Amino acid sequence: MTSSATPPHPSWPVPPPPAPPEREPAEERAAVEFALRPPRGLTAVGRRFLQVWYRDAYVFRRLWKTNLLPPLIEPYLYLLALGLGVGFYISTIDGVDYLSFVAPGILVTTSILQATFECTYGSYFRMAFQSTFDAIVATPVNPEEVSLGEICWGATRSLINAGALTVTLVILGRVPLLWIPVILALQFVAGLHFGALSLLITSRVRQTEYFNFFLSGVVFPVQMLTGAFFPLSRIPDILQPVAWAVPLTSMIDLTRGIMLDRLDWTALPQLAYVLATTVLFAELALRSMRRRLIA
Amino acid sequence: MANMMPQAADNGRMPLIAPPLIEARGVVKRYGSLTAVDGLDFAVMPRDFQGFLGPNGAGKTTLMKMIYCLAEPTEGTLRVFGIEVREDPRRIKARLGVVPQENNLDPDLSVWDNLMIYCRYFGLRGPAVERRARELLDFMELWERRDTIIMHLSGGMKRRLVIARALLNEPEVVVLDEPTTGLDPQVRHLIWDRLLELRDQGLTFLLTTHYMEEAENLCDSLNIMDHGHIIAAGRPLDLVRKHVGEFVLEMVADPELEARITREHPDFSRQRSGQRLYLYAPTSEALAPLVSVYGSRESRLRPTSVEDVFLKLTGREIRE
Ligand SMILES: Nc1ncnc2c1ncn2[C@@H]1O[C@H](COP(=O)(O)OP(=O)(O)O)[C@@H](O)[C@H]1O
Ligand SMILES: [Mg+2]
Repeated sequence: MTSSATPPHPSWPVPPPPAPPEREPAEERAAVEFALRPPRGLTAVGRRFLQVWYRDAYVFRRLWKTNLLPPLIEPYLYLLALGLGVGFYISTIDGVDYLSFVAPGILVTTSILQATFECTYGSYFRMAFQSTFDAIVATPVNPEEVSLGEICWGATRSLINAGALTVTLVILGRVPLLWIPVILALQFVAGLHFGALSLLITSRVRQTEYFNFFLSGVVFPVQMLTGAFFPLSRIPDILQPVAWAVPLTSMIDLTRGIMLDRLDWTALPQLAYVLATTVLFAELALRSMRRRLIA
Repeated sequence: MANMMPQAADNGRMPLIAPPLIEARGVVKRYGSLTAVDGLDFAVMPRDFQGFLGPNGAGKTTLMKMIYCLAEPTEGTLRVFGIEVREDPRRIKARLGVVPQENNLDPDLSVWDNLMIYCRYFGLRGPAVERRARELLDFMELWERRDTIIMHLSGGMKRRLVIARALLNEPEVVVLDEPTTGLDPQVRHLIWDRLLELRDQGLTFLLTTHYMEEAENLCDSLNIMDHGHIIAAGRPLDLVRKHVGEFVLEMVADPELEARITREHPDFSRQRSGQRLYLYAPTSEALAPLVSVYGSRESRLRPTSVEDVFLKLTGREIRE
């Protein structure tokens, strides 16, 4: 961020031209070069993105009862149906009981869906129906900061729900207590990743119907490939590279590795891959959102 | 409302003749093949109250958006506070107040919370800005409504709040895009009073409007826009004198009568709109003889206004 401070009084960086404005020939006008090209993408972000996050959090807090309860209940139904229901018929899977196996899958799934909903329907609603982004971009906040604020708020919602679910998993004895901060940090990263991807899509769509396509056409089917509910070894060999190419697979594998206490060296490249794709999606989302917000 | 405005800079750095706060040279804005703004040149000096008039689609909003950096010029240079809009929007926007054409308040929040959230975008918080928010709500007669959720405000209250919000950061220039469209006369007059009060305190304004009365009441100078061009500019009275003269005779006339009048009085400037014929002249005496000869119940001899200039220059046909 180059200049957020505002001098109280104008001091003119350029001396006034002596003559009244006169039109120049079109060719000359088109060739105007600017001394300073403002940065784009993530490098354009200053600390004001936090104010966008704050705005979302403030509105959420006012309406928390309706906002919080349904998404909090949903993962418990999964936990009940899969862990206790399906799990009843499975003695061990991948060397552990089914509830232990599926708990990380449900945790990560919960996290990514929260961020996805927030940065598709939620962000689109604010952008298109409430013109909230237009209002913010007319202040010293830039479109990149609006976008990062939205992505971070999406990840925060992931964190809230993952946190609540983690409490239950602790009670069920499925979480190593010392690792809780790392598990939650991972959920936040998963939220950033899907928040960025979702906002990238939001910046391009003209109708909310496209989100249905994204969710039921992309997110849900891909989820089935990523080892959330059954081991990846059950997937046909030709699909293995596809499954590992999806960063979500690594997020689940990492979370499961921690919760089942079987992390190995593969955690490092996987983490690097998740972080790198997250940064990539964020960069693309920020650039695309600028094009959407600044005509 | 004393001391709400930054005092005019008197810090020794100010040149003798203040530079324009806004300066446009050959500004063009294209959306694909559509040219919304087509080569604008103008300057806004400190303490100006400049109006932009024009039929729907003339390019007024596009121009305002380029000034508050929500749209980028395709060609030309546009400087606000001496800063090119594509170089450093953040510094420009910190010193601007913006009242957009569409209200974009946070509908789920209260009046007070809207202001408290908004000032954070400027990096402002704490007792000083809270005091200012309170003064502004008083000023706009909204203090009693501070806890009302936006959804439950009337249109006039929302508009007043958007104006209050635009003043929160103590701007030097305020951009008003149709600030009173759709409001009842009482609210409109309240807003006019407040804007004039702020102008007297030293603020500079840019205004777009469809109400000629508003333009005449508020603006020192007017720009009439059409198809992305400024087709006439000047002080309201000068525009009237230059383009239509100070009196108009408005009458119902068929083409035959029009031909006859043209033959007998070729030096009046004329305009037809449907059944009606408009004859313009610098004095009422010049038109008086025509009233006695051709006058009927429908004819009217009256002083001209900016509206006549506007309709003469942009045509009396409906747009869009
Ligand atoms: N974002 C946009 N994309 C494409 N065309 C636009 C956009 N904004 C405005 N226009 C077009 O530019 C022209 C000028 O619009 P506008 O500046 O809103 O006019 P006014 O405010 O004078 O009514 C109109 O033809 C409008 O359709
Ligand atoms: Mg407009």
